[in-house]
Amino acid sequence: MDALIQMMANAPLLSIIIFLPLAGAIIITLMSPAKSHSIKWFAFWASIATFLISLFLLAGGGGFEKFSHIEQYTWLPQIGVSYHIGVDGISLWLVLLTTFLLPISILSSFSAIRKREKEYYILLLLMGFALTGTFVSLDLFLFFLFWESVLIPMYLLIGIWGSGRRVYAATKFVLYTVVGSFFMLLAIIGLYVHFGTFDFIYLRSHILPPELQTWLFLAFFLAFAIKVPLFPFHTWLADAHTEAPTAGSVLLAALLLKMGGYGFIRFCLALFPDASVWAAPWIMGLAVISIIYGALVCAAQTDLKRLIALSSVAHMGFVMLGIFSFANTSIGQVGATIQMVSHGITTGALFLLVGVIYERRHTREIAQFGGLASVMPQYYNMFLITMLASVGLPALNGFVGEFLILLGAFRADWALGGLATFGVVLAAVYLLTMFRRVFHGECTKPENQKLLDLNVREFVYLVPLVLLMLWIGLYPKPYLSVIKPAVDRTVRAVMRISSGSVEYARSGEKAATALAQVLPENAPGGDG
Amino acid sequence: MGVSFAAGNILSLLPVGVIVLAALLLVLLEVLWAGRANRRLAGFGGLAVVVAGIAQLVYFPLLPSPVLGGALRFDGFAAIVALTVLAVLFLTLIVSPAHMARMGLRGGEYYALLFLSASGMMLLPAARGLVSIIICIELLSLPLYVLAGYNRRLAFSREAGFKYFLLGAFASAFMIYAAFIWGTTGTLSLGVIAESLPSAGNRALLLLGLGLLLVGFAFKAALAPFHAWVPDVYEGSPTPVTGFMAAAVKVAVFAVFLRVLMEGLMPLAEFWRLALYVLAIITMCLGNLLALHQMSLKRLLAYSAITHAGYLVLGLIAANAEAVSAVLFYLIAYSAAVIGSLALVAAWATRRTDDVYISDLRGMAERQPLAALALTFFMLSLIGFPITAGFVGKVLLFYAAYKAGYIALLIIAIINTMVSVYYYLRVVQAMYFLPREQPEDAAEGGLKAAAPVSVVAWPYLTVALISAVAIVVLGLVPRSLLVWLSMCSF
Repeated sequence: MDALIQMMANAPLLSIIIFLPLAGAIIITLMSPAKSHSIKWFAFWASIATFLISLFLLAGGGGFEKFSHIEQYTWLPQIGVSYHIGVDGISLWLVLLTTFLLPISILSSFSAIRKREKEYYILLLLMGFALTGTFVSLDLFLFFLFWESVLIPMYLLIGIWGSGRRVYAATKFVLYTVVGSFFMLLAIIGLYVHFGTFDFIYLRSHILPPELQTWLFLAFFLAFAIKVPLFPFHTWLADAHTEAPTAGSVLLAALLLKMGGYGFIRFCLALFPDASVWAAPWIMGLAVISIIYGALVCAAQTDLKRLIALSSVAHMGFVMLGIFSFANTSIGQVGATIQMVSHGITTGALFLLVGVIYERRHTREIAQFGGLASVMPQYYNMFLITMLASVGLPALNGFVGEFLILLGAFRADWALGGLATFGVVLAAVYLLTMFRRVFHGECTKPENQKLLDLNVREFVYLVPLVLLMLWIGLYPKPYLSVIKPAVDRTVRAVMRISSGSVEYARSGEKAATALAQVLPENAPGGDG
Repeated sequence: MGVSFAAGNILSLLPVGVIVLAALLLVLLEVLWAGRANRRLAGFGGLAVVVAGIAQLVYFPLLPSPVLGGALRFDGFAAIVALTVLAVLFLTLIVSPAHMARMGLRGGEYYALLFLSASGMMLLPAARGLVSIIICIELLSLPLYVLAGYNRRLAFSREAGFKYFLLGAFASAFMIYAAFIWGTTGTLSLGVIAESLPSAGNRALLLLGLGLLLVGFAFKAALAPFHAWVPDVYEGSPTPVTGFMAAAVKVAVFAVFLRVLMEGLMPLAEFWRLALYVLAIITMCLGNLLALHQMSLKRLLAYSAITHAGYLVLGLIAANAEAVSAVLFYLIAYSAAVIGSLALVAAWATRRTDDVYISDLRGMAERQPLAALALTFFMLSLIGFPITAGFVGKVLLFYAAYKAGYIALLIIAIINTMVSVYYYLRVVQAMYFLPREQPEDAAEGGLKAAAPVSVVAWPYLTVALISAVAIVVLGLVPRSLLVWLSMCSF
């Protein structure tokens, strides 16, 4: 075992994790579409192999404060692009979440997807490829490449295998995302014009003068805020999540939304510290609106899947609140990072659970159910734990993140923190109401009385999720100890720079002149 | 100029010479091989293109070499344009025989005209004087007027030929007013114009000349509001000709446009930058808005061509060293996407319209997955999506414009790119999301023949796949092309 770990530590581990799903997808393209059985299982084992290899990431690292498993190869020397990847405490759990959820979403599709299976599994594997790449890119050009590559597989997943208004939902999803990302591309080009590199490691130690930061920050903000989604950019979410096939919804909620949160904490905070501090009160305000508004909208839903989709608006509002609650500690940001992982697990599980019932009943209307507790006891148990985790009950994973976030938010701004706490209560209201209407009471509808309980395959993919919820809830230390050093480092840098003790970069004539104009009268302040 | 007539490396003329010679031979051969000569003519033409391409590579002008008393000067820039034109011509030749046969057209002058037009395109970026530029533009345009109307049986095609001829003639007339520049500076040579502009006498007349020259170029480059001919001509021309026009004409015209502005008229930059600034905004916005609801794929690509011309103007305005290679890269990426898409349009076109409607594409992903995938890549490249050549082109172009400081213009371009996502994805959407329409009821049985063919013949598929591979390769490893381009900028 030690020898194996040693070998893996020397291997280009991250590249293997990124490209293994791609290789799997390429092999599937060569398989005959008629052999759906072998396609499914091949996709599954390919993703399992990726997951197992990704576990070695935990073995090699030294504290995860700095980037480890770095690989850097020149790619386009003319424009200074390199294939530069690495992982630190912020991205580690998101990478593992990706490799962990990929086999689960593949397994959950076995009976749900009946048409064009070959293309379906190819696209799922491509999603794994693009998502992992997004979370580990340390070159902005590469990051943008992966960021955009996520879009097309998801577009096709929603559009081909979705339900109801799938074409509308898919188009809306792409158009919204593209609006943000093209502005981000412009900002990336802007950074390149000033510094002549796309390299994140270089850029984070060379800070633009505050005025320029603001503009580029806003471009990045738009891209990430649409992805998160932050109120008022959330309107694509409900359609896309609701119409997507189950595995698509899982990947959307658990991972695509995290791309936004990850983008904020990785790029916005590190590259534009002054602008982040400047914008923090506004973004915290929007986050609190997301929390309250998302919860209220959820309370009015009649469609089970739509309700869970919209609950993401509220939950990701907490993440945003945590990321931008600048106080003298990094507690909010640490909470936000663990909350991203928790939310991925919990909401992913909720979508899977809705998929289970949808496969049996072909409806998602809450009113169509009732009294399922007696018919499907195992399903009831799973749903109960997951729902409580989503509410944020102590001893389950949702509590850890929300608690830390609220602590951080109170330190930054007690009023907003107080309002956000109210959001936790609202979450309990809409989730418990939904749960009561679906599971409790008399099972009156005849078509519900003969429903089958969970089968083995469904157990296999739900149990690991539930176990993780308990593990993170009861003993979050291993998770937090990885996250904290890296987040601390980022937040310390933000505080140091925004308190004015750092010289701004002088590379390029433009940066220098802008500095001369801006600095005298506009000394950056540290108050949030 | 002090260069004698015979001076200069006459071998630089070899590639163009091969193409002109081939054009003449094609006229003869058509008579000899009377009848069903389409394939043989195309085969002979293809051979000639390969020979010309090899000649161009062997005699690659690493150092600028003037010929014919300085009227022409071959350099790396001209050579890259020539190679692109040759590649486009080659792909057009692969598609043409099959398509001509399906449309029931005879080969005849078709191939000779294509070659003549291509020779004009190859000379154009090497042209050094206003007169030689105008002659080259005429040389590339006149054959195209005939080719646009080549499908005589279709009213659309006759209309296209006539319209293109009328408006093209106007454009040429405007361009000839560049004589005012000659009048004020006393020279026709670009280099000398640049030197004598600051001391030129009659400012008003000079600017009038500049303005009319710009109008002429705007016509040829399809910039709004001089774009009105584009949709009709693209729609009516035989589809391979549309592909040739869309790709090669754009390459040649933008190359020479860039050169005239940067080498001859840089002292007047403040004027033409302003004019082009306005034209770029109008072109991008108008092209996009009109493309949104097109039903015909050829018209959609026509409006997309207008929009892309608008983006390319960004490079002209930037007019820095980065812009030269960015514009060239963008043109190559655009050519690959457009020639590939039009090859597939040709494959699916009906004899009645020589066009494909977006609704005809429904369910294509299941019937012809490979062709559908290729078309998807073309659309993504036209949007400028990562891993396609279009993305690298857009990044380079936007970088050049950002560096030159045109950020407001860039934001407009970015917004237009977002809008364009909608209509390019409509094509993908039809192929992947929507089921094939059920055949009409028996009463309309006659129309069944009009439904798109279900198998893509090999020539079309070959061209589509070559283009798709080129797009992905240039999107992922544009390294060597970038090295090449950076050596060849002027």
